[in-house]
Amino acid sequence: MKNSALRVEEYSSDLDVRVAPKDAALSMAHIYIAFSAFLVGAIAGLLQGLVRGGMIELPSWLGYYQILTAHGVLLALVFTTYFIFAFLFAGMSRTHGAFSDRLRKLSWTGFIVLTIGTLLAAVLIILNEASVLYTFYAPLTAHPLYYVGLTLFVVGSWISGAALLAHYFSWKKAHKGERTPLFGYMTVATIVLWIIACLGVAVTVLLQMIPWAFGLTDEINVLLSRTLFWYFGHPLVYFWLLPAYIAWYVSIPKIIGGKLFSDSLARMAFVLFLLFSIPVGFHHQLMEAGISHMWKFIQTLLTFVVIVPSLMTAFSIFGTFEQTGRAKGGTGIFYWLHKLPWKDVRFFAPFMGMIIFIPAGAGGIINASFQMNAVIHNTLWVVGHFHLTVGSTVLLTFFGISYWLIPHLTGRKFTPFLNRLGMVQTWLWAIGMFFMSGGMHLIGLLGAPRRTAYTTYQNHPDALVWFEGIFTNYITIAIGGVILFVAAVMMFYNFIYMTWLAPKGDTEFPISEPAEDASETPKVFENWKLWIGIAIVLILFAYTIPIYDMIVNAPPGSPTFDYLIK
Amino acid sequence: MSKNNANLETNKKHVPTETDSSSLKGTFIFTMSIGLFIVLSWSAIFFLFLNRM
Amino acid sequence: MHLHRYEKIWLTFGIGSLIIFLTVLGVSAFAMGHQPPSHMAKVDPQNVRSEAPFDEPGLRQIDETTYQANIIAMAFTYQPNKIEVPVGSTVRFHVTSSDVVHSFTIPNTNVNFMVTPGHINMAEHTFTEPGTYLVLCNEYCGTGHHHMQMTIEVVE
Repeated sequence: MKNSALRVEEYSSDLDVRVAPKDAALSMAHIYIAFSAFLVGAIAGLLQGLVRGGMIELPSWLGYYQILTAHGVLLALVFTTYFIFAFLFAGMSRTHGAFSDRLRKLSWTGFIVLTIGTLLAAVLIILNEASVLYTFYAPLTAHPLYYVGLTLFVVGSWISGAALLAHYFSWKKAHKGERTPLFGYMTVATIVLWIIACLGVAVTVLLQMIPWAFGLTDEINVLLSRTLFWYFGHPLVYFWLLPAYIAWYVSIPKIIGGKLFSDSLARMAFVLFLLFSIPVGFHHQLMEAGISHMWKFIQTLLTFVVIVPSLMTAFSIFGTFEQTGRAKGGTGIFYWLHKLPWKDVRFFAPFMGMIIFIPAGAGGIINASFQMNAVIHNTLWVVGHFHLTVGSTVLLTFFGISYWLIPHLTGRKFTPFLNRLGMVQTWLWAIGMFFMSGGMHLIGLLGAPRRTAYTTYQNHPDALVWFEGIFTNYITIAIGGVILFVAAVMMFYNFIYMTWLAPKGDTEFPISEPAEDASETPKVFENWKLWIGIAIVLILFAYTIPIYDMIVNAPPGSPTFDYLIK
Repeated sequence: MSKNNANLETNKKHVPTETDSSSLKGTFIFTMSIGLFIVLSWSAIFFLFLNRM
Repeated sequence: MHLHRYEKIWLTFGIGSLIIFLTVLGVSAFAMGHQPPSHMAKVDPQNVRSEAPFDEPGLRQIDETTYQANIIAMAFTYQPNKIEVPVGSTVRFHVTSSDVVHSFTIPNTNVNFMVTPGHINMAEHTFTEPGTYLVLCNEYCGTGHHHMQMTIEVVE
């Protein structure tokens, strides 16, 4: 029991290495926006759940698809991106030393551009000029300035990403021949992935949507813009997931009092994500015309390759747990589990995220399974799926990070009180998600569509079934949503508490010492030119011919349809 | 002799603890059950797909 | 780089399962014809009604038990929005859009495909049970998206 009990004094170990105060201010600026967006996005989510269940009706000045757009943009894009940059800036400062004034200035520039883009998009959503959902599929048309906002968002993230990359490479220059810290290595893989991925959305927004929405061109090539969007859309989900994996590989081993199982396997997993998470976008377009079977199947095959690094991660992380539990005297096949700090939310919240990743990953394999996609495509099953992946695995890990990141940055203490709040928050989130996502998966198998306001399809029996089951019921989903909303409000309070209310003091930024095998890690992993080169070759292989065909053999294009969203 | 015996004793004790502390049996069973879960859920949906044809 | 023996077994099992999944899917698709809907035919989305087959949307009988249904999806309905076939019929749905992206989805069947403007997409289904089948749009297409539906009457 002693090992699993909360021992506050442990949180004050390793305090000599800190995030530099000026970098902490930059990181906290991101945190403020992240959690403000989180609260508003959670309110939108609650309203959606209640509307779909037929329990409330929205006032006439607020549209269902408007709050659906707000929910997706604020949580999936704004909260995640801001939190990720807060975590990466702080982590790079902690592991690679303080940013130079020049790079910090560059990072602030990125933050400002990102924020201008966010505010512009937010204003247009509030004005109901951009109810096109966060995927903004053409030819539905938002206000032209909405696309400008999205562009600034991406440009801002690139500037911030460039600052992170420059910081890593200047460390590398100053430490010739040394193995780079794992945190920096993984940050580079994440940012490089993000920059390559954004090229697709940049091309469709800058070259197709902006000229078309401003009236400079009359028509848009719909299939091409969808393809460029999904070239970006799948690595986007890895941009959310990889920072969570960074915390699993780098911080969690330290929190549980052990060290990472294998350095080279960790690096290899990240390289595989960089290589295989981009040339796979067609698995989001399996049900659409104009892309041949063969190219769809090739990208399905590549999608299955990107499952492998997650299989490796499952072994590495659980192996780390087992080695740590045994080093602390645990025995038996599973009895060593008792040695893990179950009552420490810094471990427990991400752990819950890991467990939820099992059904999330299994569902993902089903979704990508070529013709089988017809069973679930655009049904609520998909919504249930990504509320497990990004909505639980990634978010619970980000919450787990918050419990030490925010007090570390604000110079406050991680208190037993905060730990208790966090434990309750984690359980509420997991229970709420069980009902909401579980219900969504099953009701999706019964054909319930995603992204659709309350409807019984003129009381058609196939649609009424969605209101009649015990678990397969919109009401169950709404109840799960209410529980999640309570958990979200708690998390917002935890953010307030950690930022302004907790007692002054110190909290550790946990970074695990290198794994035993770190010295044997092959040098080739640091060869970024090689990995980026292979990634580009794979992308060209998977996309050149189908995109060429979409351009050369394009049907006549589509005009704008902005009246349909108002 | 006694010295040798003592050495044997340590060896005896040492070997099993080391095997135990570096054992990944739990990890193995855990990951294989993930695999089983994936195979079962995939098969379930595949049969649903066949059934709906 | 060292892989633990258990990790080798785990990855072999995991990767092996993925290969089996892909093989099953590949054989079912390429050898038995259960392909995902990927029709390559194109149409001018701003003039869909000017050329065959969408100049006359509706049902056409091909042989004793086979029909072709030519359907235009639009915000927020389908044209025609009701068709009737005898039980046991196989219906080939040819669908295109005259405005934005829609879907053509019959719950509890594998008919669930995207309808993108400029393209004709298709799927085939044999109706073995009588009843009123619901068709709905599961791709957001504007403020009235949740009203978009049609029905298929399968009669004895």
